[in-house]
Amino acid sequence: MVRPSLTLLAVAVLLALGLAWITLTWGGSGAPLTAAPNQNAELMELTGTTARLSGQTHLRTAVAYAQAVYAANQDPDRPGAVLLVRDDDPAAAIAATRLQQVPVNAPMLFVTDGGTRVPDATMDELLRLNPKGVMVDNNVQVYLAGKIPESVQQQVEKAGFRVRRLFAENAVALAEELDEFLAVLKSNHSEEILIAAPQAIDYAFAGATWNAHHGSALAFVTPDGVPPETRRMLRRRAPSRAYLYLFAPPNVVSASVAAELSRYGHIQRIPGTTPQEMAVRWAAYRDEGRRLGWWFGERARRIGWGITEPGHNAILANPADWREVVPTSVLSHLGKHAFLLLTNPDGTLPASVRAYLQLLKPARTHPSQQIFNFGWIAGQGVPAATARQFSDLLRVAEPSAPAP
Amino acid sequence: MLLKVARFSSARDAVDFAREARAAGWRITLPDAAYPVTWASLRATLLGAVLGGILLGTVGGLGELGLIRLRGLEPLFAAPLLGVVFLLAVAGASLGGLIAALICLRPVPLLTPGQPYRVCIDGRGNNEAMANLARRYGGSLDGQGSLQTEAAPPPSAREMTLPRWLAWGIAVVTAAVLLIATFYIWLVALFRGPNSNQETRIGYTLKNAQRIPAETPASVGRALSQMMGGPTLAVPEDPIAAAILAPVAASRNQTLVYGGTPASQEIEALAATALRALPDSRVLVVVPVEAPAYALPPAYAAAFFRAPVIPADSRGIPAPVRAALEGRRGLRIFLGGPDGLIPESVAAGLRRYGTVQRVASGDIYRHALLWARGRWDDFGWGINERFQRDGYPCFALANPETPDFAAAGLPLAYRGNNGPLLYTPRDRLDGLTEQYLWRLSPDYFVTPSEGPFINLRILGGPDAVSYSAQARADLASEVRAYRNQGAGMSGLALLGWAWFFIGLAGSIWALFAMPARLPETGFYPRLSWPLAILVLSPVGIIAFLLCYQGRPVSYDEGKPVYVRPLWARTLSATTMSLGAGLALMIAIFYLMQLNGLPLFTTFAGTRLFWLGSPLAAWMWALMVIPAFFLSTLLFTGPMMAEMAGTRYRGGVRLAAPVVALSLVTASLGMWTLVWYWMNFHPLLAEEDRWLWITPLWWGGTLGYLTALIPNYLMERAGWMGGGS
Repeated sequence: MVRPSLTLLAVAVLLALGLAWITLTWGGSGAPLTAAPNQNAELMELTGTTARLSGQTHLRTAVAYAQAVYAANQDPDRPGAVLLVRDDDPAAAIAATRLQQVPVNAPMLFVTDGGTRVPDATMDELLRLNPKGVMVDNNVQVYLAGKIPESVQQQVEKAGFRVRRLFAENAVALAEELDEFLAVLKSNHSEEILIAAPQAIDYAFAGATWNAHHGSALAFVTPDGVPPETRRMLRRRAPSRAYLYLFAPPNVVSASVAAELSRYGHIQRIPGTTPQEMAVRWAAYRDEGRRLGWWFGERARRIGWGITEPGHNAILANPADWREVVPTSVLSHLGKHAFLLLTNPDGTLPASVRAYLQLLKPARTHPSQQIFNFGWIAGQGVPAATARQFSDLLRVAEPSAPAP
Repeated sequence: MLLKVARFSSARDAVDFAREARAAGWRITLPDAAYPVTWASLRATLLGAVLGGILLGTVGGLGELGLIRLRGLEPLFAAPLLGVVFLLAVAGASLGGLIAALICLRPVPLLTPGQPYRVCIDGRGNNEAMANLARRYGGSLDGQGSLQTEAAPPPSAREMTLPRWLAWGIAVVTAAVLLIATFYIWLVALFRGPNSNQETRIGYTLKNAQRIPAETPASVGRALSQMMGGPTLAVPEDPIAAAILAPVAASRNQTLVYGGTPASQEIEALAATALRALPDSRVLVVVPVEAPAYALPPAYAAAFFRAPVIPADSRGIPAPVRAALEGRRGLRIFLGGPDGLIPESVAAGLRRYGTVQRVASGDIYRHALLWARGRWDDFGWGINERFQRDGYPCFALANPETPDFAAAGLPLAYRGNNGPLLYTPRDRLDGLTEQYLWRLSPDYFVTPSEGPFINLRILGGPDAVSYSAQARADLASEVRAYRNQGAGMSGLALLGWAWFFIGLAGSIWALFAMPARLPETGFYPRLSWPLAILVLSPVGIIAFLLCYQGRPVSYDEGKPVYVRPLWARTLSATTMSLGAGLALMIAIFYLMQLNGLPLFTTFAGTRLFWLGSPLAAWMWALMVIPAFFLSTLLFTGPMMAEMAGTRYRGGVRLAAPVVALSLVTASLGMWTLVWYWMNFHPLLAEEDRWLWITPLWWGGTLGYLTALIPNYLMERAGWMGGGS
């Protein structure tokens, strides 16, 4: 028989070796950031309640969002994976935001030139982020979503990353492809489905950031009606009922198409006649109720930010350039979990946003219980004056505290 | 007291006699039984546990009180109040109990057959009745009559064969894999980055911590005035002057601009002017002139509450200030410097104006925290991490070695998202500050966007506060789910870790206790039980004691067998068929995580899509099958061969159905719990999170309990020995 002390020693030796091996093969340490803090100050302006995140190009802007959320300084700061989408297909990017949520945990970065090239900005950020890999999917580190050719996959693999390519010819097919992939990953189809229209994709920006936060499904309807990909998606929910949330006004998606969708589930149209208004109404939207019941128990649905009181984080973005808007979804996924508000295309603050922010204005109380708001200014499309207005609207209401 | 000894030829007869004797009301002890634990060793273990628990628990308590830095254990503070004390106390108790138990481990000789089996009867009973009862079970009382004893067995097999070495090797590797995987998270908590090259960063903005974009204190002042907007008040580039003028600026709603004007007045005159500008304040803050770093945390509080700031040194407060204070009474005066900087004599001199209270610490980092936590009536930030649940604390973070930056940041005390000042050294976020932020980090109950959140503004360049320290502060203050704190310890995770520590200690104890105190046990139980206790923790320890404590040994055909009731035989049989199997399953799971669990998309689009998910379907097959083979071929198979006296192949054939049934049932119980937690509760624990251990270990225990059912039925049918 073996002496117990020998057994214990053997285990201890293996333990020490294993821990040493882990420490030595860690991603290794890198060079810290030593740049001056006012480098790129104009791209990253701060106010009392807001911070801007932008880069010189739309590629670098997406990188700025990822850098804000993932410090990559220690293990928990790294993403599980990185999501790469084309920078010329807004609908595909919006469909892909649902992949950013756990269990994947990914920021969104761009590939350019019709989806054939990984630009330096994106590759540098990939190397800095050094994704950990998604444990429940073969430790995949990069997801390519959309009509991205295999050459890009090879490019990324050559840099030393594990890649999964979720290919689809267009955004409508991508929505279905992603839906099935995530169903396999989570072994469940989500009953909450956002419906968007690629012909007026601005309306769906607010839904895209919600999807990164919560992971609802997303499907498209086209000017011709409900496409077969969407029909298949909706039928797969059976026998559960689907709950559909339509991000388009009646002049974009007609009542008859909505009625067609109602055959597959309970459909609600998000109020709002402009994308700006719809973003505001979605921020305040909260739909709770029936989802699944099984006699001795039930599971409720709870969808929508439902934010109508102070103490939250809002992103302000200009919908004129979608490439600055959609990647902000990563800010909804971690950190302060921000919801999206849109400016007018000329950069001014819409009246609906100004009115809504009155609901969010905190009152001054004792500092130990004080509520604050916080705002992200996304990209370059929001002028400084608008950012300042936004900051003032988010700020705690004066009067100033009296002396004790 | 009369002690009579009845002797029997077999342990079973003795046990049956003892049962009936007990029913008749006599007190029975069985001296010739197995006792892994004695009263003496139990007392020693408890003593060791209490001592160890108190020792480490005190360390935890000092950390919770913010008195010491628990370096590397900062993420533990994300747990609720007293969580750190609890975990360290349990770890200490486990270690102390283990050491004590090992110290007083006394080996016992083999319970050899061939000797009569004794039963001690304590009681003044009817001798005649006792003797009759004993005779009925084939024994004799006090040596009367002769006994037919069992035949002496051949010497038990003690040599190590190749299959035994293999089994031992697998057991060692399995235990090592389990320990490496569980210790990994502690390693991760120690590591401070950066994890990769950060030079491609555009700036220093992080989600919870942004840096004021300025390199020098004067430019910080300018940057802040631009950030906050509105009217400004220029102050000289002197931290004390800024501290004095900040409350004045706040009362006039002006943003302080550090270094915006050359020094014009003496500090004393400035203080007197400022004092006169704030006539209504009931609070005074006294700061040390000689150490601006100590002066600034009180200055932040004073600025927000518009309380005048008075400079003092070892001689006292300056004459102009004393003149300006004339006639004021009933004030609350706070001394913002330790004894060495503002001596007690100064305090005494101030008592004529009101009550004097010192709020300071020699440790500069703790000093800043005292001012952030403190609240006296309505003065003071009151951001106390032990009770703070619902406010949105916003901080300024600076390096006390360059107090100019902290002084330039004074507008952050009263404009915008304002809040107190915290300190850190350059390279590594200060331990007390980090513990504070982890404990303060908000827990969300309903949805992550519900708030609160923390925000920090960093003052100074990378030479003052490094990117690493900023990123660490950003990580510590993140919003996390109450039950699954991710990179931090949650209450639920604490329970899982406490469970694990107890099991680890019990496993090591069983490893040593079995050869010493249970010499009749064979080779395979001596491997299976420690592995089982490692996975089953307290449940495993209890099962171990129920199987061995006070159990007599009988020799069936020369093989030692412990005499147990049916339910205890079930426990033993389940452990024999599962002990190694459960540990193997979990170890294989961890090893698979190294490469990532496989995901099968072949069924996508069909009704069987869910089969592709590792956590739903494939995983258990990938784990159960190797565990089944290893367990049957290397553990249970050879063990049953030895027990039944057959060859290896016969033993494997006996073992295979039993192990299969046990493993399948156990995995159903285990993975049902794990899957339920993963899908119906938002406990998406990843393998590098503190919570990961809880569903795995509790799932293992549930699997063991589930497997008791088929094992009970198999025991009843007599398939397994259940007597080892």
